[in-house]
Amino acid sequence: MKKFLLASLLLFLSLPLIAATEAPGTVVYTDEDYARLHAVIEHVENVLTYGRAYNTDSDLLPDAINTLTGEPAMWTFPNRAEVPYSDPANQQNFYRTLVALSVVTGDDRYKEEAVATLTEFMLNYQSPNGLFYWGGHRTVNLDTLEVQSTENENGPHELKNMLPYYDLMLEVNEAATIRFMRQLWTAHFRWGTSDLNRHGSYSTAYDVNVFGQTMIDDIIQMDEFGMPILPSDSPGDLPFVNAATDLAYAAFTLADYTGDPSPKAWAEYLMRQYHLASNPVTGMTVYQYKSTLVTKSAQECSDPAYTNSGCGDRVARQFRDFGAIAREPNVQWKNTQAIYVDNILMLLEAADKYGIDYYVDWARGYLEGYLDYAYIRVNGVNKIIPMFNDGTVTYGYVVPEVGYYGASNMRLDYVELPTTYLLPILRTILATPDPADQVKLWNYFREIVEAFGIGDVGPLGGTLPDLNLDTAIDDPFALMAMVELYDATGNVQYLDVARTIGNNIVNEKFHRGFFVDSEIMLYSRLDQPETLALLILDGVIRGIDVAAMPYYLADSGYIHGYLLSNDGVTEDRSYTQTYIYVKTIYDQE
Amino acid sequence: MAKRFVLIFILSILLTGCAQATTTVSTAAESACKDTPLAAGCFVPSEELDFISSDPDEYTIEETFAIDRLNQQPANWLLYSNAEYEANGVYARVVESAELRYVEMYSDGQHKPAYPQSAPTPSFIFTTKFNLDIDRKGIAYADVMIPSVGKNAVAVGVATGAVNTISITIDNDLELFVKVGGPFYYYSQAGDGGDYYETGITIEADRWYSFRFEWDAGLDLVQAWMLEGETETRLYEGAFHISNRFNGAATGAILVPNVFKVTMPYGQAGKAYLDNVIVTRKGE
Repeated sequence: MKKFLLASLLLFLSLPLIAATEAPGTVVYTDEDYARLHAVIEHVENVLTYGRAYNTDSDLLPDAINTLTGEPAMWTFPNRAEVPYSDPANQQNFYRTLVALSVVTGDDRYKEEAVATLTEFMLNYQSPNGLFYWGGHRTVNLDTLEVQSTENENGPHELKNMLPYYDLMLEVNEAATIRFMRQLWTAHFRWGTSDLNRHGSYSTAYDVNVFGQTMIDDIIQMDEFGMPILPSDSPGDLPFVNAATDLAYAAFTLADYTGDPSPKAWAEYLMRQYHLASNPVTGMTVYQYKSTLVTKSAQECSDPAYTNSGCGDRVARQFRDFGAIAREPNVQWKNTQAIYVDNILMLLEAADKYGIDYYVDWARGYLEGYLDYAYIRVNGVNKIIPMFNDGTVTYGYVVPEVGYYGASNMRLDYVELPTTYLLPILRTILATPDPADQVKLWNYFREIVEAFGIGDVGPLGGTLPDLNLDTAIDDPFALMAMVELYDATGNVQYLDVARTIGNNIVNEKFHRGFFVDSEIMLYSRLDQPETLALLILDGVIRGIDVAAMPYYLADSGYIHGYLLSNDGVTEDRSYTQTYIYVKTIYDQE
Repeated sequence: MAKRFVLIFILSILLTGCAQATTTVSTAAESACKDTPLAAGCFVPSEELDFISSDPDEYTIEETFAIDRLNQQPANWLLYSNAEYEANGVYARVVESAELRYVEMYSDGQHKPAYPQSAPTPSFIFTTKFNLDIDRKGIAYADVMIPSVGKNAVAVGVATGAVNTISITIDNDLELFVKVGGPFYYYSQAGDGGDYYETGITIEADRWYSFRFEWDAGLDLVQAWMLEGETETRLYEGAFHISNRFNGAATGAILVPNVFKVTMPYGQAGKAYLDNVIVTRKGE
């Protein structure tokens, strides 16, 4: 009897600990959980209903919906020409959302909607050379269903960290997808010189043997001090890492799908140039591994406001005071999302899915270097110190003249560290096999999470967190980070805080039947990550393996080109994110 | 006694443990909609959303500046500048002479907008808006004076967003031109910069001149007139320029003007004066 009592006692005492490390799949799915799913379904249904209502001859969807009028977002050219645009490169998270919604509801209809859109797009909007009419400078006009350029009449092909949902595209149209992945390299990469241009031509002939080229030596060599020599001979090409990320991702996917190892070898070659160009002392990496050759006349380039890359390295032009380090590749205060978030998420995906294990070490090195030198907490807020990648700080510098990086008299200040950094840091930690190698990043992660108001994830391992279950944060990246920590540790505290964040997202961002950035924002973007994050949470609560859900990779879709400024009377050349998605309901005319 | 104490102690711990378990392990009931999230009793579709109309609101303008405040920029007007412009590098302010109020416009010509690149983009851009998008036709009037001292070249007319529709230009020699269209937004310099037409007229400094601009998309017609008392001199009549058509294509839909615009060029300093800017419906 005494033994029985003792055993009962021990069993009951152990209940709280069991609950705290509850195995996935045993969590109760509550009405509050369903309320979040309900909001996502409502949003999806409204996007499908009103997005498709604009032109009933098409299954294409607009990139964003005006939540006051129900109409597609419009690209307005300087002469007032308005184009309701559909650019499937910018809708990847919506397709992932649709597939995820089918997974959690068990209803295939949502996935079929994604398939319908992609089927029409891939059948009708692929150039004869294999490139799709999508990306930064091409879109489909939903009024006419004709291809529209936002540059001159022959706008180039451009993908920057769009990381398409290739799994679904291959399922929908295998031949078109493979043709595209091959042509992406033919159109953007120069095999003889390793020059890479984020712009690709729709006139470049299709090359079925594109990856059969002879491999060349690394273009980045080291000087006698072991420092990388960055060439300045790129003939108008700008090898931005955000374009390379898409090339590499396509090649890795192609190699995995076809079993042909050559695309993978070229992807490794390409990403190695960025690695070699990184600063070996600080660990910080680069936005590009070359600068452009000067091809424009001295007269043209005498105007500092003329920022054409044919006038050479634009940082060297605008930041002469800093000497040789002042090169576009070395800047660590602009485009850092591309370098340290999107690129790293792709590297980690390649490591996980395609076996490029050493990418985890690269990712860890880049992030540790960047956080060691550039991360600072100011008044409890996560910030980044502007600097070059050798650690030369530019904080407080007042730019003497106008240029590519901004107006004259602009003072370089701290930049707020966005929540997007949570995922690459966490995923790098989780992919790092040796706990001793996890320590540094975990400590940064712990501090950054705490500064975002989520609480303390505790010591390395995350099994003893003290989280703020009443956190006010309403951010999808924080939500996905907490879900992934729950998935890794089984500690239910992470799930509880993820539920809080999910509730916050619904409360703060679900308005007028759509998810928007906040209540006053006018447009609901299809590429927003909130709905995918909420569905990943929903799936985890249901006990669905995270790996069975579509995976978040990027939120980078945009259109770039000539447009009418928001003053309505002058011309600019800018982005949807700068001009359109910043509009509020008070801007509706 | 000791046994009882131990039993009570154990029971109290057990109860505490149960209480903790209650707070950590959710006792909330499983949602009835978990496995039927789309069922009628669970998912309630949005009611038809109550959208607002996107039809344009038409309005015209009548800017005589008679009630605008002296030495201030007139209300309803926008003067372009950016971070590179000097303070007072450009200005447009109401002045008064012989009890007549009008606008004095000055440009130092030192800076200009970044776009369109490689085009003769002006430094001084002074605008107000109207909307006749449903009528797709209209008439605009304006009075202009160039001073004999400190003069500047000036262009006055109507524009489709950022792109000129039809305007008159008075150059440094006081010669009068009409400009139709352009520059188109990517400005290839292959006919998309707009077309200049000589009028053979040279105006006099320090004297007000009145101009009228007409457009009618239904007739594919734009006109510019100079008005002197009862005399009306037609300066130009013709079709809309391709830069005012969708995609700059000859078959593209005509995009009608919605901006009244005054510009002074980059690279030279000086003044001009403006009064009586009126936009009315055509046919009224």
